[in-house]
Amino acid sequence: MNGKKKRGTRTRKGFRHYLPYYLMFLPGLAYLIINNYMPLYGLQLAFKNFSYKKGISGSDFIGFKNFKFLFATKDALIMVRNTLLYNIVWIVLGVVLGITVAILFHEVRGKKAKRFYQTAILLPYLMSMVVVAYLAYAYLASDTGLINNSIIKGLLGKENGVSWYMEAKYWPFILTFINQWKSIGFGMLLYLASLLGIDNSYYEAAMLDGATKWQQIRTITLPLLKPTIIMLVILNLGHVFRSDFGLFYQVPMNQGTLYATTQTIDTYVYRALMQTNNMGMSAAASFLQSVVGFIFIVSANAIVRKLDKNSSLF
Amino acid sequence: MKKKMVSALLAGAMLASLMAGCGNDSGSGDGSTEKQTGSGTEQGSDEQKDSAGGESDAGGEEDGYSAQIDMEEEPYEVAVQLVVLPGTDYSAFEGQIEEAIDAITLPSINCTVDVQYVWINEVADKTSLAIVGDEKIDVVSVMALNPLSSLASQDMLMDMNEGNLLKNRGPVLTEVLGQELVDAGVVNGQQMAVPAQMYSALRKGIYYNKTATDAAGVTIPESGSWKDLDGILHDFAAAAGTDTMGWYLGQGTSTYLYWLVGYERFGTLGQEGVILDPFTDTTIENLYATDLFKDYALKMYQWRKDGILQKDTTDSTSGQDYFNSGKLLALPADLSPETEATYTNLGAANNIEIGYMYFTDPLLTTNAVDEYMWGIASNCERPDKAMDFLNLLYSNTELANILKYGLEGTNYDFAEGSDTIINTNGTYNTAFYRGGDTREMYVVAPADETYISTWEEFEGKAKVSPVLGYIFLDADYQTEVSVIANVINEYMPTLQSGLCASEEATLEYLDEFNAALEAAGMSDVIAANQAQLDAWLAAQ
Amino acid sequence: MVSKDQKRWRAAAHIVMILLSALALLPFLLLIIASFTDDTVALTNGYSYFPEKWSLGAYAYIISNSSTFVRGYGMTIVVTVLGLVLCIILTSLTAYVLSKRDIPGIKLMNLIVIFTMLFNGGLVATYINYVTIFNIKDTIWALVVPSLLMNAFNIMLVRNYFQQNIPEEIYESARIDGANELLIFLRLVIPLSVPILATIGLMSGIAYWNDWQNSLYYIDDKSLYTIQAILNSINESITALASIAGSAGATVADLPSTTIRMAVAAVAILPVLLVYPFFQKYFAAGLMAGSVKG
Repeated sequence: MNGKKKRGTRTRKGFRHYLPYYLMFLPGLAYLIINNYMPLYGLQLAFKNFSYKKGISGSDFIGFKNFKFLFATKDALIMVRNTLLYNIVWIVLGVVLGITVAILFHEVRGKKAKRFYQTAILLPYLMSMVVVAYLAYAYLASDTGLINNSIIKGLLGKENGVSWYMEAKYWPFILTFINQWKSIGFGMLLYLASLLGIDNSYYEAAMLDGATKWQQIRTITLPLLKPTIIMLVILNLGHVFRSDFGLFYQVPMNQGTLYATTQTIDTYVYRALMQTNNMGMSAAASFLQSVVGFIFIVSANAIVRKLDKNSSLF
Repeated sequence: MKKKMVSALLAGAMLASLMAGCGNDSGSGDGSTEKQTGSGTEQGSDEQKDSAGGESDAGGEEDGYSAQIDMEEEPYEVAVQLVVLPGTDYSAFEGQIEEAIDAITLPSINCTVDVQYVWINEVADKTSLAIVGDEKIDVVSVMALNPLSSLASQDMLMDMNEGNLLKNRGPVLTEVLGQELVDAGVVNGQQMAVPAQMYSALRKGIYYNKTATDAAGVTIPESGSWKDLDGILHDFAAAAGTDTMGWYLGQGTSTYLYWLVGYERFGTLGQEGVILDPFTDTTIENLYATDLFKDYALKMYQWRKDGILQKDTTDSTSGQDYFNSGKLLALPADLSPETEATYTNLGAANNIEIGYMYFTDPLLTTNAVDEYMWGIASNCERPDKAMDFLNLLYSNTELANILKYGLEGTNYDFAEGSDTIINTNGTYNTAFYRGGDTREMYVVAPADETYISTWEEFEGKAKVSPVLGYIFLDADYQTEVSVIANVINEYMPTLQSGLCASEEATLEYLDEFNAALEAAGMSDVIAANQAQLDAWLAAQ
Repeated sequence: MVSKDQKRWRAAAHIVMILLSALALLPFLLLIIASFTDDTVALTNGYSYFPEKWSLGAYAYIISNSSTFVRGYGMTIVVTVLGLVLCIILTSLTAYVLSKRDIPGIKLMNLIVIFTMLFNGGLVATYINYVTIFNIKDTIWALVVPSLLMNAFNIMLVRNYFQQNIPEEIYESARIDGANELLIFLRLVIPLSVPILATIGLMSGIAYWNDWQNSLYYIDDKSLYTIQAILNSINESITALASIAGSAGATVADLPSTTIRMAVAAVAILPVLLVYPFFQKYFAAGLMAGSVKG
């Protein structure tokens, strides 16, 4: 339906022809310039010893000294590993679960049921991480938590509950669960918007041919969702070196014993700079995250471009 | 294809650098950040001399600011930061308060005052943004959450010695606070701040639920060592059962030992070392490698095993909440007549009688004095007027009373038959305001006339730390300090909450902790700190 | 005619949806119940679906401070609506242009947009920019414009939708009818893109609703604070006070307890829940548009 572009027929048209597009691009461009490009000179802070009196441009250059603290710890490897692994696993899970739920939701008939499910599943997305942290605590607290009290002691009859906040090994699962629980509703919406755009006649034709639902999904739905999937994955790769601070700091209650599985670059930077509040050092960390994200996005885009020209982002 | 990609990238980068250049220009072009420039102090002082000379010709060039206040000029508006509790909104009577203040300041120092109420959780952000954006900010509230060390090291404050500002325009302030206290605001030879409170002495100790100990038949002595807590808490647990926990450690990151022993610490986590007993020895040590800390860690392990500590170490409920509901026996605190009055009142509100136990004598330490200070923002246009305001604050009690208690009738009323004791109605809570001549200011009931004399006596008894006023400048050690902070954050909760499996495991973990601190550069930082301190002591 | 296969799929869909809804609703229910739980009971026993003692104390606190909360609400609503409308206009307009693959320089334009997703000048530079050049401090624009108005992620999402779901033929027939680009965009593209615009609207609406940082950075006048900024401050007060060395118990005044924070969180989510059905209506409308076209 989205008919492949007829590349061959592209003719040279004059500037006049494209002028309206450029004009329409202007307001957005203006905003990006104001909001994003004008402050870009602040990037130099990463290489400066910031002084409030001297300002950004007046402060002294100190080379890469601000970056040192990121690598000065023996935990550097752990936090990089955690940040990258969580992000990659969650990107994959987000795609798989988002599509699955969107397809299943699409199968639901009945306005009221649809409305109910959609509202309910989106609820976690509306809650702030602080609230999620309180709720997680209400479930996981070793002494007063619902899981230990009601399920492990009450239902399973075991004496001792699990000390959730003491054992790092549980946290990859807990964090993954919370992340997906919170984002699945929105992921579903994203794919659903694309699903809604698919012409019903494709399915009708397939059904006439006797295709099973599974075959329809494989041959119609997934291929048509492909551009959306690729785009979301590429965009998410840009954040591969960043992490949701609330999820990694507030939800595990800043527990030292859990650092093996909860320390990420952002939480490290926050903990390290809580006392010194050094602008240059936090700028350095953010600069590094941007560069890594940039490399990931550009390479992913290059790979996609090799495989399928039309799906690449830029 | 590749070529196109590269060219697109290049174009993007060029655009970015173009923008960067443009931003750069605008940044310096508006001149905001440049105004007070001058790593070379010369330029700065020249400029100030100029302005000082311009406003009054009475002061000579060498003297900097004139000692005379120019009453003829257009009144300058001094913006004063006042830190308040989050969520409070005083806009209903802010105007009236400013009016009442102006009625005092206009005739006496020819300026008006803009009170800027700042929520305490925002004070650090608001201060740095106001300075970086060159907004109106003159008098800065320097406090634990907006600490002198970071304000000074990032050039956010003005040197009050420049142009003899403090000497010429702040004589009353210096007289009321005393030279010794005023000197505590000197950082690296520059007067970056002045203490806000006259009485800063504190003693380490606990406040406890006396109602509960009486019921359990446990008596707690008035003074002792923190190790006596061991017997007390065990006795209480044996007598009262486990419904009320004995000791609470929050989430265990900050060392509660700080409230049990009177050491001087550098950095709130002691990440730049501590001086265990500044009165006998000024050696800076790694707290976590001392025997004291080893004892503490083992004690905590023991308490955990004996069920004295809170069961859940991830608890985000504040200790005070537990205390108020009678679920917690005691909390450590910095005690003084002032804080004790607060705790006693709070206890009364919850039907709890409060008892106190002291671990140290009254001490006057850097940590205590740095808690509340005044600074002048580095972008302040008229430092002389800011200083005039501060000076007046310590000579005019009415002004100090308005800032602290608000307006009579609106926010407080006088107790019957008194013109110094007041009853507040809770509409104006400036728990973080210090300032004014405490001896002359109002006292909040139920305290009575003896309150001030008790306090004065308490302050008089205080032992003054030999390192009072010393601050470590860690500019060259930011990397080490931040990595050390991270290590402490990682290991402390486990140790402090006594979570290791056995005594041996605790000691092993402590060794591991110290090894990590060493690897992070703890001894380098401490050595640098010691060198600075020795030079400072020699200069005293 | 519904086939057996389809029936099975529908049954499976219902089961999964019910499961997911339960997973989402149970914690939410706990949030509501927690806000009605007695303080002391919550302290001793933790939160439970069947608290031993109920209490309205948390809501009494909110009502006693209602003037602050009501004003914060008002601010939030104004900012959210204004921001959302502007966001949709700007985002869809930009995305529409980017969806045209054959405009000369389109790759650069795409890159200009995506680049902003990765690099930013940081708080200090952004702040100086907005405050000293654009002078938006203490105005409502300070809550709408910085950082939230439009972002690359949303633009790419919408661009992608335009490319995938709006057939080229529609444009061509419109052009033959003599419509200009803006008209095509307004009359044809927008109505066909309701699902994605509703999604973007929801995303940006929630971002505005939950934003507290712009208040913190750009607003000194407390009467312009949004509800989330007030809530966040109350939430943070405990941590903030704990770092004051005065006492380990960290108290100079009575602070809102956890149950109050739960109540406040519940109150903050409620309006979003009320508004959400409207978005859903647009989804439904989008569905209709989707089936008509082609």
